[in-house]
Amino acid sequence: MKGTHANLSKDFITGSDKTDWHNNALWFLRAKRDIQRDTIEDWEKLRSTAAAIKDHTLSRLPEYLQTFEENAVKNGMQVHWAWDDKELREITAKILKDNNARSVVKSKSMLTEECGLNPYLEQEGFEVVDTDLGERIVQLRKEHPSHIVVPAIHLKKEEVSDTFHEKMNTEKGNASPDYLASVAREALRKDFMKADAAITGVNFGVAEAGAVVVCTNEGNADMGVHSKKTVIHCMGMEKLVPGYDELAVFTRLLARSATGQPVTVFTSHYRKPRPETTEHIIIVNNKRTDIFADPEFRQAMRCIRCGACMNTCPVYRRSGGHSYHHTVPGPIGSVLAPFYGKEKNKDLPFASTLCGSCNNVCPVKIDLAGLLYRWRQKLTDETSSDMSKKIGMEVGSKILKSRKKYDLAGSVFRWVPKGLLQSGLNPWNVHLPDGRKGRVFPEVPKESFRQWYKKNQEDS
Amino acid sequence: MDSKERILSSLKNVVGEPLPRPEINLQYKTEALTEIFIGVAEASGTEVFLATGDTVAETIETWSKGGNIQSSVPALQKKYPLVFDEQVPFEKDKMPGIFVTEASFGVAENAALWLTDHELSSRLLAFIPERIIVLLKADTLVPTMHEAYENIGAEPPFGFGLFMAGASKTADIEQTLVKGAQGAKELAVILY
Amino acid sequence: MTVGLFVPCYIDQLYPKVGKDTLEILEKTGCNVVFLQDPLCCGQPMANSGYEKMTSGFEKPFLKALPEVDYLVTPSASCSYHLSHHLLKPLVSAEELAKVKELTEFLHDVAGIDKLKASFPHKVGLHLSCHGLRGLDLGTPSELKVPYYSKIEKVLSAVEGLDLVVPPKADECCGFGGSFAVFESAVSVKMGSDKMCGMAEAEVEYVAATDMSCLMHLEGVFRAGDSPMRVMHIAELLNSEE
Ligand code: SF4
Repeated sequence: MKGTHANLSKDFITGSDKTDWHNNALWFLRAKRDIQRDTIEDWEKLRSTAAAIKDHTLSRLPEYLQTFEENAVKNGMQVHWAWDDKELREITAKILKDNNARSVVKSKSMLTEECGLNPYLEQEGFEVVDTDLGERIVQLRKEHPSHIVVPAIHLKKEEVSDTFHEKMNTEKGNASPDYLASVAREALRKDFMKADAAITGVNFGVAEAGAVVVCTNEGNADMGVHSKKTVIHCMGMEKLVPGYDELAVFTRLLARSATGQPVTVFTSHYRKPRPETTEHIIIVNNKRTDIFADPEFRQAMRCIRCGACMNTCPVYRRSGGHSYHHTVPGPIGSVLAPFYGKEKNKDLPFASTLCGSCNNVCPVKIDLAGLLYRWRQKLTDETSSDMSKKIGMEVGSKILKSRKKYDLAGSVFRWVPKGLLQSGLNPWNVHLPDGRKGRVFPEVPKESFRQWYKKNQEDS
Repeated sequence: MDSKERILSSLKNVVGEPLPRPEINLQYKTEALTEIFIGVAEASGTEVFLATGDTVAETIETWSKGGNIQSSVPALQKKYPLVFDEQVPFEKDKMPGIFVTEASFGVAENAALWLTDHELSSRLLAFIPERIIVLLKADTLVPTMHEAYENIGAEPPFGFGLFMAGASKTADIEQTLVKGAQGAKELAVILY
Repeated sequence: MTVGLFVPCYIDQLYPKVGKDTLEILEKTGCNVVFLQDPLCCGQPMANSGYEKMTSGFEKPFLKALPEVDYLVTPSASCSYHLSHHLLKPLVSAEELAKVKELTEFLHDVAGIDKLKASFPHKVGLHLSCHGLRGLDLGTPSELKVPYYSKIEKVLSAVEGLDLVVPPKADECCGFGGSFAVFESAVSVKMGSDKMCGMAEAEVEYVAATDMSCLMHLEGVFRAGDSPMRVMHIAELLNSEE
C-alpha cells in the first residue's frame, strides 16, 4: 500500500531534511506547555476536573444540546442541525445564498476541514478565504493543515516565501516572517473588506448562556464576525460545556496545553448578534453519534482539539502531520480516523509505539494509547489484513503457546546462519537511504537462558 | 425525521446514566495579584503602566505620542471623541489609530482583560486599530478564570464578551513570533 | 518468600545473561526463587499488533503459577505491564494481580536493596522505558506535575561507583514499540538514532533501562552507527562486580 503512514512517514524522514527541524519545532511547544503547567499548583486536578466535566456533559448531551439551542435562540441566534458533512455543506451554502453572499472570510475550523466545506463552496461558486495565517498559507498551496493548531508547521519559511511570491507577488527570496506576515495582513484586510459573510469554528458552546466561544491569537475570527452581516459558526456537538463555571476550567487549560500560552490572545464569546446581522450556529454530528454510541470510545469526545498530544508524540514529531492522511493527525487523529473509514485508515492506530506520553499531556485525560490498542484489536478483525503479518503472528503465537514447539524453534533459531540474520531478509535490519546501516540484529548467544538453567541449576 | 430529532434520538438511545455535575474545587494563589498580572502581561508583550486617577490622561498621551486617539471611556470622550462608524468599518479616516477603552476587570493568572459591548461600544474596535490602550482598575483584578467567570455570571448578560490578553500575534511561519498579525500591533494596559 | 521468576521469550533467547543476573539478584535478596518453566511469553507481541485473540491460552501457565508464589517477578516492564493490564487483568483478583512485579518495582516495593552488593564504576545513561515509567509508575514522567520520585534511581543506588546520568528527554520513547519497530521502521530507527545522539551528548559509556526490548533496538542502532556506547539491563548493573 502506498499511502500508509509507514510509507508517508518514510518519505518525510528520508526524502526531506525537515524531520529534525519539525521535531524540534513541536518539542518547543511541548516545552512551553511544561512551563505553563508548572505555573498552576493544581494542574493535575485541573485536568481531572476537566475530564469529569466533559464526561458529565456527554452523559447528558441531549439535554445540554437542547438547552444550548433554546438559549441561543433567545439570544437571537439561528440554530441549525447537520446530521453529516453533506448537510453542513448544504446548510452553509443555503445561508450564504439566502443572504446574497458570494464571498466568505473563514477562521480556523478543523470541523469544516473535516466536512470538506471549502472545496464544496468553491465548487458552488463562492469565494472562500481562510484568514488564519497558517491556514491561508496551506490554502494558497492547495494543501491541508498538517496540525490542528499550527496548520503550516510542516513548512519552512522559504517555502512560504515562494508561495507568497507566486500568489501575492512578494519579493522573491524574502523569507523574513515579519515581512511575510505583514504582507498577508494587508492582503487579508482587503479580503475582510470585500467579503460578504464570515464563517468560524467553535471552541466551546456554553449551554446555559447560549453562547459560542472562539479562541484565536490573531483576532481573525473577530475581524470577520464583527464586520459582516451574515455570520456562521460551525460547532461539533461535543463542544458543549454546561455553564461559565465549567468554561473557566477549559479556558485555563486550552492554550496552556496547546501552545504554552497562559490563554489565547482573544477568547471571544458570541451571544447576541449585532443589529441588522444574522448570526447562525450549525450543530454538527458527522459520525459523532457513532463515537458516542461506543462506550469504549466515547471518551474521545472529550477532546478539545488542543494539539498537545501531537506536540508530544515522538512519532508525529518525526513523521509530519500529512503522513496521517486524515484531517486530524497524531494520536487523537488516529483514534478518530477509523470512524471515518476503517479500511482506509486501518494503518493509523498502528502508527504509534503506545508510549503513553499523549495520555499524560491530554488536558481531558483521554486514554489515547489505550484506545489505539483497542482499535488494533478491532481493526484486525474488521478489515482486510496484511497476510504476512497475520501469518507471522499466528506462527509466533503457536510456538509461544507450547513448550515443545518453543524449545524446537529455539534450537532451530540457533542454527540459522549469522549471515542470514544480519541480512536484508531479516526485517529487523534497516538500511538508511545513504546505504549506511540503520539498525542491526543482535548477536545470538550460544545458549538460551532455559538451556543454561537446565545445565546449571536443575541438578543443583 | 429532521436532523435535530435524528441526532437527539440517536444520542438518547445510548446515553446511559447521567453522571453528576462535578464540583470545581482548585487551589491557587490569591495574593499579589498586581505583581502576577504585570509579570504575565509583560511576558506576553503587553506594556503595563502604573498610574493614578490623575495621571491616566498623561500616560495615554506619552505612550501614544500623538496620533489619532479615540476612546469609548465616557470620561475621556470629550478629549478623544469616538468617530468610528460601524457601518463603514474599514474607512481609514474614521478608524482610530489608537483606541482607548476600559476593562471591567482583569485576570492575574493570564493577564486577560474582560471587555464587552458596554466597554467597547463597537465590537470591531477591539481588533481593528493599530494600537490599543486598556485602562484597568487594579482593585478589579481577580486571581483566575474561575473568579472571572463568576463575575461574568453576576454581571448583566453581554451580547459580545472578550478576553483580550495581548496584541494580535501569530507564530504560523516557522514558529517565529510576529506581533500584529491581523489586529492591534501593540497593547498597553494602564493600571490605576 | 517464594518468588516465581518469569523470563520472557526474547530475553530467554537473545539475552540469557539478563535472566541469569535476575535470578542471582533475587537469590541475593534472600528469596526462594522458582524459575517458571512454563510461561514463555506474555502475549504482548501479538496483542500490540492487534491479535490479542491469538494469545488465548497464554494465560494458563501464569494462572497456574500465581497461587503457588508470593510474587511473580520479571525483568521486563513491558511484559509485566501487559500481564497486569491486559492478559491477566480480567481473570484474577486485584490481590493476585498485584503479585506481578517488574524487577525494579519488586526490589523497591518488596525485597529492598540492602543485601545487594554491586559495583560498576562507569558513566551510565538511564533510558526511561515507557511501559515502566508511564505504565507501572516507576518514576515521574516528564509530562505530569507530580513530586519527583524514581524507583529506578533508588534501586540503582545499590550499585557502587555508578555515575548515573538522566539526560534530557530520558523518557522519550526509543522507538521500539513491538512490531512497530519493523512495520514503521523509518520512524522507529529515527527515534532510536535520536536517542543515541542524546545519550552521546551526555557522554555516557552505557545506556541502561528496565526493558531489554528497548535496549535490543537501541543496541541495533548503536552498532549500526558504530557507536562505542553499549546497552545494559538494570539487572546486569545490579549484579555487576567490577
Ligand atoms: S486528545 Fe487531548 S491532547 Fe489531543 S488534541 Fe484532544 S484534548 Fe488535546
